[in-house]
Amino acid sequence: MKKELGIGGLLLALCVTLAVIPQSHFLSAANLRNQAQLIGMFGIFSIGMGIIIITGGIDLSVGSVFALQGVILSILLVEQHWPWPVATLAVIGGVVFLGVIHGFLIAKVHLQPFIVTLCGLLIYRGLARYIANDETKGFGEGSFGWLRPIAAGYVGPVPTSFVILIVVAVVMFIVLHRSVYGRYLYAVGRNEEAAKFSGINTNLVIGSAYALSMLLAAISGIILAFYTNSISPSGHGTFYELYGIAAAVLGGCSLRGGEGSIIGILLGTALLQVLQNLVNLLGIPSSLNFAVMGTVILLGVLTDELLGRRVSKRGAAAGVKTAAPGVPISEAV
Amino acid sequence: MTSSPILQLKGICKRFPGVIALSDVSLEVNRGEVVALIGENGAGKSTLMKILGGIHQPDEGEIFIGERPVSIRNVSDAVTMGIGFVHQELNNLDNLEVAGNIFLGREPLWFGPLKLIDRRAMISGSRPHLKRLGLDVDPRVLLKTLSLAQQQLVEIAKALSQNARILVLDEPTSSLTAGETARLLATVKDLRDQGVSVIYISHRLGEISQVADRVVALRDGRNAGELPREQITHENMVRLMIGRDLRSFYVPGAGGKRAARLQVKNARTAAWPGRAVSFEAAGGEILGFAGLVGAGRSELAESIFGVRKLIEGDILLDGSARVLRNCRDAIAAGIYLVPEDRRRTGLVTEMTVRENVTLPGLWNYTRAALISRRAETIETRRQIDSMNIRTPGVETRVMNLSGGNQQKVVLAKWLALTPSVLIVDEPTRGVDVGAKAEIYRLLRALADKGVAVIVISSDMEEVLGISDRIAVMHEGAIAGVLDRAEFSEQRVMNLAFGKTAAA
Amino acid sequence: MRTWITWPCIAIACLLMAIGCNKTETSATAQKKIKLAFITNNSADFWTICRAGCNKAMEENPDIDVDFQMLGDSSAAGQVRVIDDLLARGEQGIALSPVDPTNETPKLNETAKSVVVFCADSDAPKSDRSCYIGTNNVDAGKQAGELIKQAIPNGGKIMVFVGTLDAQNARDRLGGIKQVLQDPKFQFLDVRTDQTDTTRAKANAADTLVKYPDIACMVGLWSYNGPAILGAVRDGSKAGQVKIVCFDTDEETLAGVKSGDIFGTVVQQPFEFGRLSMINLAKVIGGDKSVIPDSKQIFIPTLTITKDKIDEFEANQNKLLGK
Repeated sequence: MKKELGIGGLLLALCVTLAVIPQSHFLSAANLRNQAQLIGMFGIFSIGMGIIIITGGIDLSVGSVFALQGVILSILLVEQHWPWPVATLAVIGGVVFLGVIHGFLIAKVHLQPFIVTLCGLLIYRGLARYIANDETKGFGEGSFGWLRPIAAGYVGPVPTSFVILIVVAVVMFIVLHRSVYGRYLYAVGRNEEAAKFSGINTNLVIGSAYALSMLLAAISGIILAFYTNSISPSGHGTFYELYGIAAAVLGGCSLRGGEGSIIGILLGTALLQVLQNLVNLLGIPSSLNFAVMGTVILLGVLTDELLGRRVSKRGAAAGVKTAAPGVPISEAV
Repeated sequence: MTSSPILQLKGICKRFPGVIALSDVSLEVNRGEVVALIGENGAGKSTLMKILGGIHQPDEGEIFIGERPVSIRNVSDAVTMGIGFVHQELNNLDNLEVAGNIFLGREPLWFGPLKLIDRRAMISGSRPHLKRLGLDVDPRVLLKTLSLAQQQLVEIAKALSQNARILVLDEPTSSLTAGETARLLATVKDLRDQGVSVIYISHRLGEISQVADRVVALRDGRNAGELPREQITHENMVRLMIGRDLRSFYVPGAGGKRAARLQVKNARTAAWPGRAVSFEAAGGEILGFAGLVGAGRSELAESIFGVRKLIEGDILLDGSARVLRNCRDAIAAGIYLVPEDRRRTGLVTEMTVRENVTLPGLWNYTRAALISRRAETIETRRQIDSMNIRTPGVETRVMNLSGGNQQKVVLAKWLALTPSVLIVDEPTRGVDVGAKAEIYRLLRALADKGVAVIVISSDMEEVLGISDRIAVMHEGAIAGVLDRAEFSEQRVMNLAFGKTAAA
Repeated sequence: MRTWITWPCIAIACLLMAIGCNKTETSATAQKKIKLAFITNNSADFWTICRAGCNKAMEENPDIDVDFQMLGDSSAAGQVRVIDDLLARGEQGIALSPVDPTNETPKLNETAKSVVVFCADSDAPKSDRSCYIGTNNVDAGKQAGELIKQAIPNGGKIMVFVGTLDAQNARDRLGGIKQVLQDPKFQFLDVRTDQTDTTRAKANAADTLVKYPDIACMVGLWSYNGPAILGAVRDGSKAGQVKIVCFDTDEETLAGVKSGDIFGTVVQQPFEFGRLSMINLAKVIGGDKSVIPDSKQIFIPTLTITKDKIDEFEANQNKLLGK
């Protein structure tokens, strides 16, 4: 919870700063809508990434999956004229199937997640380019039934991507923090052996996490495809896995596994987007975009760590007095 | 033979924020003397040794080496003053070769400015130290190919190679088998005869009475008394450590014939595929499993529990055959395992007491598929109370508990369910004497409720004390089963080494 | 486990061998042909049209055989590796669009010693390449400047969008635009870069609309910038109100021009890059050096496409692509 407070504080401080700067337009309806759109898009797959990181794994293939998925969706809808529900389900199903393959290779065959998903990154990018014949695919101005309104529309003034993110976040909050499966995810991430010795089907838990994450990536990917409306197979989604990983880790997920929360991931995602918004709104040269992002994040994490250390020191000192007799002093100090 | 003490700690005080760890503690060690330092966990042994090793600075008090007052400001000070440490958790790099470990951090160099490691000098320099300890290994082999006992000796060799005159051994036998322990104790005696002084820290009172010249006990950060050689007995040591007599350390079973709950027939494991094991464990009894490490006891236990493959064999529970493909099947059948290495396989140490206790039976605490924290907390409180787990609360992370209380949490995981058979592998490794007695009582109480309790132990005293029957394993097979009336250390050792019990 | 993995490995090995054999067969039949290659600097539709031009060249001159290499990762290192591979395969002439002209110059010089090297689309002027065929980006920028003049005759705020400004073509185009629009009524706000991330490109445009509600014209220098700006303007319900001028012929861009939401686009003729570079390469290899002018630069003019010219352009384009 401490981590979430730190990152939440940083986000709040940024937003307040942006809001009080005159002429920044940060709180204008149009800007809030833009930010909600982006946070929604990036948040959904970041939650998936967070789940994988909680199990102690990583997924580097997300960006390439976006390209492959976008290209195929465009071909199915625009060139093959499939009905939109069929095409959408086919694409989501296909992406989840990729997740199942990742999960099988990692949990059952015991290959390293880094290797499996790195190969995914290469393979799917190549497939996307091959399938698209290196041409940019797009959706033109077609609506495809409800698909465009769902993916790129608005509920009142709120972009649908943000609404979908809220729904996904609530569901995943319950799954992660209140369900047996969620508890198993944390246990497996912290100590796979001990989880196994407690009767948890660790292979199934880890494997399914990759499938679940890909389901969320598929949802994000469709929204993303309609956001850009054109998918260049070589460039679409490149490095987006890093946005997901950064959001999750900023929000308190440990790359060693077993730590992290939905709230934290949402805050991490929002922070990443607001930082980029800040660069544009303050008229900072866009060449400094990444530098600003890196600096603010580093400062935030540093402050968080230093504050955290002081708090835990004080907490430990206070804790010893109240500790029951028999708690070893050497370990508590 | 001894004139003045080689090491003196006088009036040492050490305060940490909110707690006084050591208060006016004194310790003397003579040349060529083995001093055993005993005390429950938290009594101050570790802090005292950290002061000796330069990790902590004392707030008050003096340290003398020989006649000279010294201050030990850091680890390398301790090394130059001839104090060597061998820690409970081995601090070696098992991906390096033996010689590389002995010379770690002070490798002989050659080729001038290039600072290449002179491997040949390192290897030849290692040999005399290994020989002195009677360790017959090639200094060129990787450390990880050695047994734990051999690795321990390499640690001692490292300390000796730094000209250590005072050697601190912290729980050196906690991972060793009976035979290995005996050899280590012999080595300690040899070193003493060569004039090395040894501070020996252990929870195993049997070893201490064999090896110690003097016993110094700590309790609550103070000196609790000393015992000269002739007064070192089990009872005296326990009294000094806990400040009162420990009645009924082991609780005997009720005896009598009972029906078999667990039957294992012709079980073969991957560790000893050529040997088949058959045995029975009755409800209400504690069946001890003795033997050397590597005899296949833990592998057998893990195979019954389903985390390892059973190559062949039948497992019957209450007379009916069960197919246990994995540990989920075993848990469903009521067969539980408290594993040997609780930090690695017994507990998720970063999780709380509550989360650990409820982990195996998490579905029992759910409502509409969601976990009820209240139900979890109620059950955890119940377990904490009934097992006397000393923890600040249900939400304390398990890694902040002492070894004994951690072990109780592992037991609580299973007692929150309904055990038919409970297999406990090394129940009191790294557990202090007070918690030990409580764990023994718990296991006995479980047996009295009709559970078949199987205790695997390398602690001879423990296995003789707690068991109703003892099955001794040798090289993957059961060499013999002893009834309580036949119990003796000699018989168990003989069977464990593959001789007949009678010899 | 081990047997489990063996069969897929064998299958892959067989597959690779089969593909390999296939390749050698075709190259055997093409022995007498002049072997030429074209290397792009990334993979985009632009190059698909260029490939059509190369194919056209093969139709026009049956003696040449073109190996068209679409570069995947848009890195100089990747391009150098492709050059090495092509040299190893015995190509006689190479046309390429260098990713990093300055730093690839030594490699180009080395290559030019053994085969004929042309630069296409992007030039490496200090190298020993025999010829450059492509757009004069300063002129293209000037054309875009003229378009902006028509779009906002009374002047106003202008924002420019591009992937990165370190690419020579981006600098040249921007320079050309600024040469034409020297009147202070045209107010250049800034250049927003996106590292070729299309999502960022659209977000940059959206942020600009928020920050400068009175923006008059948005200019996209690279092909995907047009659709990205168009999307943001439409999301902000400012279509028609904010003028868009962009480059190249992304499908979205052309549709935007057609609907009037994009004022105009400056298009290059990649088809001609491909066709002419292959034809001329073959001629130079055959000994006819007259095709290379003294300046060693052949400029293919850019076209300005606005709503009134779009239908004609599309018809022509489809013909070239053989659709």
